[in-house]
Amino acid sequence: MVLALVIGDLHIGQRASDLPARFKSLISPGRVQYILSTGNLSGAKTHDFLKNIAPSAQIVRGEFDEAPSLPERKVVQIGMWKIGLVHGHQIAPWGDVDALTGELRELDCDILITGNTHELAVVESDGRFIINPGSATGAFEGSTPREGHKPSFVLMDISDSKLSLYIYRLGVESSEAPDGYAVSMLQFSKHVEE
Amino acid sequence: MDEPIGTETVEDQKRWVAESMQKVKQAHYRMREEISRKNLPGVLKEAANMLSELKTSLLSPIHYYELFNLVFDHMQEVYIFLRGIPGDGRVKRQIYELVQRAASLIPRLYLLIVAGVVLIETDSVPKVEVLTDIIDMMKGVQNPIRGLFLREFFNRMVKRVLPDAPAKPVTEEPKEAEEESQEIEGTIEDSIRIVLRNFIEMNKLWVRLQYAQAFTLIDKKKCENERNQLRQLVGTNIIRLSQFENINPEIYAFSVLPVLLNQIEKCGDRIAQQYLLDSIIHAFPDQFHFLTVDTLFGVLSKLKPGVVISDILVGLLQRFVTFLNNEDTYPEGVRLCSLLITNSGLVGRVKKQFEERKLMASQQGKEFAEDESTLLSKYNPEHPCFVFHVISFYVSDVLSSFNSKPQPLSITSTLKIFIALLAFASNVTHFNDDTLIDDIFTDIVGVFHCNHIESVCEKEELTLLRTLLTTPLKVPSHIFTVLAMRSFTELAGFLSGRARKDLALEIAKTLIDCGSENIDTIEKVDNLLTFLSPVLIGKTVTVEEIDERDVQSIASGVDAVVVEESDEQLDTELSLVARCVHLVHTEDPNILYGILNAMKRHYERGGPQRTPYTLPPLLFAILRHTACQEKGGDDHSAWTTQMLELADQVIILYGYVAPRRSLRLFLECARVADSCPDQTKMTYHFLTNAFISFEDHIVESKSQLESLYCMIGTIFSLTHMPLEDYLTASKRVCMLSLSLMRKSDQCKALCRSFHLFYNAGSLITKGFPDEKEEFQGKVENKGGQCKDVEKLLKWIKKTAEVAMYERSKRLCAYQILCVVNQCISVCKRIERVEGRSDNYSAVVTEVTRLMEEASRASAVASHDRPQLKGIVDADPTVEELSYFIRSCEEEKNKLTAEKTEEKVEEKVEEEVEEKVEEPVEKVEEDLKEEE
Repeated sequence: MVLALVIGDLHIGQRASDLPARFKSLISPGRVQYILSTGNLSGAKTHDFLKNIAPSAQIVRGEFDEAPSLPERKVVQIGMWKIGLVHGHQIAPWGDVDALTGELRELDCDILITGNTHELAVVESDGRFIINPGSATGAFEGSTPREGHKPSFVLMDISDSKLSLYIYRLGVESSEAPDGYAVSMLQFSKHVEE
Repeated sequence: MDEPIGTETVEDQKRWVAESMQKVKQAHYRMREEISRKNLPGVLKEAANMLSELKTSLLSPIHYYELFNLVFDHMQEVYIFLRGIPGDGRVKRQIYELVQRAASLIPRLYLLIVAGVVLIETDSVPKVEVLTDIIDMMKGVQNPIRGLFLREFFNRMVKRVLPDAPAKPVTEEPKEAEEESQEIEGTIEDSIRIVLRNFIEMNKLWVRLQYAQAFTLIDKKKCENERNQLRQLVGTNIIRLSQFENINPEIYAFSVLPVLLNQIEKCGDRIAQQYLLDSIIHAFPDQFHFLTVDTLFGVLSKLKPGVVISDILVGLLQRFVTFLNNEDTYPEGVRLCSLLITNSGLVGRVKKQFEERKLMASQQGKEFAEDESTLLSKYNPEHPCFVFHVISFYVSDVLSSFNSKPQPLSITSTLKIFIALLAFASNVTHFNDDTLIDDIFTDIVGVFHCNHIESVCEKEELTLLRTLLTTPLKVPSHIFTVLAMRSFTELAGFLSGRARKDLALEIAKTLIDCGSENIDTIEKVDNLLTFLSPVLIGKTVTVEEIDERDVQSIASGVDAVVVEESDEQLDTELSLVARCVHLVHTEDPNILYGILNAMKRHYERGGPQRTPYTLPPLLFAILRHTACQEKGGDDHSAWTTQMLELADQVIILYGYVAPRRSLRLFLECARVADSCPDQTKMTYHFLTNAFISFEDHIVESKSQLESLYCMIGTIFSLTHMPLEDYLTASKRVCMLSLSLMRKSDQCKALCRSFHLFYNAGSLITKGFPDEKEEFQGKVENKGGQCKDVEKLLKWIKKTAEVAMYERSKRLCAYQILCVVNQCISVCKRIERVEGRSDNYSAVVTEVTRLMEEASRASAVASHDRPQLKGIVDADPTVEELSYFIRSCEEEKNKLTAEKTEEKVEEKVEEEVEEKVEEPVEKVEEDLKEEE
C-alpha cells in the first residue's frame, strides 16, 4: 500500500492567506510516501513545507512559480501505475477533457494529474484517469464562480491494481462532515491487458 | 590569632578545612571506641573534641558548611547512643544537666541540643520549656557563621519533636503558666513561636555578616556572595513554618506573617528583604496570600532601595493566577478576595482616591467623567472581573507609592510588573472586558510620562515592552479592538526602529494564524496599516537603532543610515504582511473599494524594493472581490469599472518594477473583466496590454513559449468578447507563435493556437463520478461561439508544415503526431457541436493525411542517427513513438468509424440546427478575411 498526497494550486501569499487550519492539521509529515503536486505554490516556504511532508515530493511548475528548477512535466511510476504530472496551463483548452486525454496519450500514462482550473475533478475513461485535486486553499482564478472555489485535495491509495481516491473538501454542507470537511471515497481498478 | 581576612587564598582555605576534618575524624574514631565501651563521660569528651573544630573563624561559609555536615553526621551517633541509655526521664534529665559542664561554649550548646531532644522524647518533661531553654542559651553565640550553623543544627535536630497539635479553641492566647502545667506536648502555636524566635535571631546574624566584614567595595561583593551561600539556612525557618500540618490562614495571617514582615522590614537589608519575601511567597499556599494581600503589599513600599520589587510582585501574581485558573479553587479565590476587602477597608480607599481625583479635576478646571457607582461596582464580588480589580488596585497602589520616591522603579521593573498584571487579566478574565487592557496600557503610559521616559531602547526593555504589547493580541477576536485603542498606539510609540517592525510582524502573524476574514471597515484597515508600515514602507533608521556591525558607517561620519534589508529578509517579512489583504471581507462594495484603494496608496509608498511583494496579493484580492460581488444593481457596472481600473493601476505600478511578470496579471484581469457584464472594453484593454507586454518585455524563448500558452488558454476562455475582437486576438497569437525562434517551439505554440478557431463545445473537467454528485466529472462550457473551421484548417496545415520542417525523422514524426493529437481533440469538439458534418469530415481528412505523413517519417526514423538528441526537448524513443502512432491511429479510426443508427439520427438533427446558422457566420468571416 502506497499513499500519495495529490495537492496543488495553493497560491499562498498571492491569492490566499494560508492553508486552511483544518487541512493543516491533516497534512503533516510522515503520513504519506509521495507528494504529487501540480505546482503554483507561490513562494519557497510552501515549497519547503510540501517537501517536508513526504520522502518523495514530485512537484511540477505552475505559471506563477518563480522557481526555475521545477520541471514542466513529470512521469512517476508507483507500483503498477504510471502517473503523469503536469500543471495544465500548457494544455489548450484549459481543463478540456479531450485535450487532457490527448496529454494522457502523449505521455502514455494510466493517470494524469493536473491542476490549473482550481476545479476538483476525477474523470475515468477506459481504465485511465484524469485527476484534478482542485486548489487546497480554494484560491481565486479568473473564472471562479461567485461563491468561490472550495478548498480541496486528494489522497491516493495505491495497492497493486487497485486505486482508491479519498477526496477532501472544505465548506461542503453535509451530515458526513462533522469536522468541517467532507471525505468522499472512490475505488477503481486497473484495466490489465492480457 | 586568626589571619586577617582578605589575604588568605583558596589553597589556604582548602588546607584549613582538610586539617579540621582530619581532627574531626580522629576524634570521631576515639568517640566510637568510647561508644562501644558504653562510657558516657568518654563519649561526651570526644564529642566535645570533635565539636571544638567548629569554633574556627578561619573558614569561608562554604568550607564551614562542609565541616558542619561531617560533624552533623557524626553527632547522630551521639544522639542514638544517648537515646539508647536505659532509664526513665530522670536519667535523661541528668544527662541534660551533665552536658552543660562541657568546658567551652560551642561544644556545650551542640551537646545540649542533642541531650535536649533526647530528653523531650521521653515525654516526661514539657517540650516547650526545654526548647525555650535551649533557644535562650543559644543567644550566647554571636559570631554570625558559628551562630547560624548552631541554629541550623538546632533546626535539623528539633524538626522531629516540634509540636504540631492544633491550637486550643477555648483560650485564644493561653497563658504560659497554664500551658506549662496542663500541656506537656505543646501546640502548633508554641512551635511557631520557637521557629520565629530562631528565625529572627538567624536573620540578625545573617545581616550582621555583611556589616561585620565589609570594609571595602571588593569585600562588599565577596560578602554578598558569601551571604547568598548562607541564605538557605535562614530560609529553612520559613519552610519549616509552612510545613506544619495544622497551620491555617488565620494563624498565618495573625501570628506568622506580621512577625516575619516586621523582621524583614526592620532588618533594613536589601539581600535579606529580597530573599525572604520571595521565600514567603513561594513557601506558603496560595490562599494564604489572598487573605494577606493588604499586609504583604503594605511592606513593599517600605523596602530598601535596590530590592527588585518586580520579582516579588511577579511571583505573587503568578501564584494568584495558578490558584484562580483552577475551576475548583476559583470560587474560593473570589470568597477570599471579598473577605480581604471587608477586612482591609479597600472600598473606603477607593472612594477616597475618587474624591481626590475629583477635587484635582475641579481645581484644574477639567471635566470629570468618572462615575462613582460604576467605579465601586468593580469592587463588588458579583462583578466578573472583581478579583482582577482588587489585585490591580493594590498593584497600582504600590507603583504610585514609588513615584514619589527619590529612586523610582526602573523601566524593566515597571514593565515586568505590568506584564504579570496583564497575564493575570488574560488568564483570569480572558479579556472579557476590553477596558482592562486599555486601563493597563494607560497606566503604563502614565508611569512612563511620570518618569520622563521618551523612548525605550535597551534590548531587555524592548523585549519586555513587545511582550506587553503582543499579549492581548493573542486573542484574535480582540486584535482590532486593541489596535484601535489610543493607549496601545501611545505605548507602541515608545518602541524604537526594529522593535516596531517586530510588532508589525507579530500582528500580521496573529491575523493570518487566526485566518478569519474580519477586515471590514476603513478605520480597521487604516489602523492596521499604520502598525504594519514599518514593514510595508520601511524607514530611515537613526544611529542608535542599528546593530553593532554597522559601527563602521557611524565611524565614517554618517548620521543616519538606511539599513538595507537582504532580499531573503524582505521576502519573508513582506510576504507575511502582504497576506493580510486576503482577510478583507465586506458586503458593502463601496467600503470594499475604499479599503483596497487605501491599501494600494499605502503599498505604493514602499517603493520599488517592496512593491514586487505587496502588489500581486493586492491585485488578486481586487480581482476576487470584483468577480465574486453580487451582480445587478444600478451602480454595479460603474463599480466594476472602478475596481478594474484600480486593478489596472496596480499592474501599472507593478509593471515598473517587474515588467516581465505583469503579463500574466493582465491576462487574469482580462478573464475577470470578461466574466463581468458590460466590461468588453476593459477586457480588450487588458488583453492589448498583455500583447504589448509580450512584445516589449518577454525576450527569453522559454518564457515566450510559456507566455503564449497562457495567452492561448486565456483567450480561449474569453466567451463574452465580440467575435471580431476574439478573432483578431487569436490571429495575433498565431502570428506570435510563428515568430518564435525555434521551429520546435513554433510547433508547440501553434498546436495550441489553432484550437482558438473552434472554441465551442469544450467539455471541462469538474466533479467526480459519485452518485450524489451533480457532475459526473465533466461539464460543458457553453460560452464558446467561434466555429471558424476554414481558419482552423488553414492553421492546422501551417502547423503541420512547421512540424515537418524538422530534419530528424524521428522528431518529425513525433511532432506530426502531436499535431494529430491536438486535431483529434478538436474533432471531438466539432462532433459535439455539429455532429459528423462536412466540417468534421474536413478535419478528419486532414488527420488522415497527417497520419500517413507520420507513418512515413517514422518508417525512416528507425535509421535516424541519434546525434540530434539534446537539441530539442522532446526526443522520444522508437518504442514511445510507435506507441504514440498506434494510439493516434486507434483514435483516428474511431473518428472515421460509422456510428450506430441512434447516434446517426441525433447527428442529423444537430446538423440541421447548425446548418441554419453556419452560412451566415461563414459569410461574415469570409468578408472579414477579405478585409
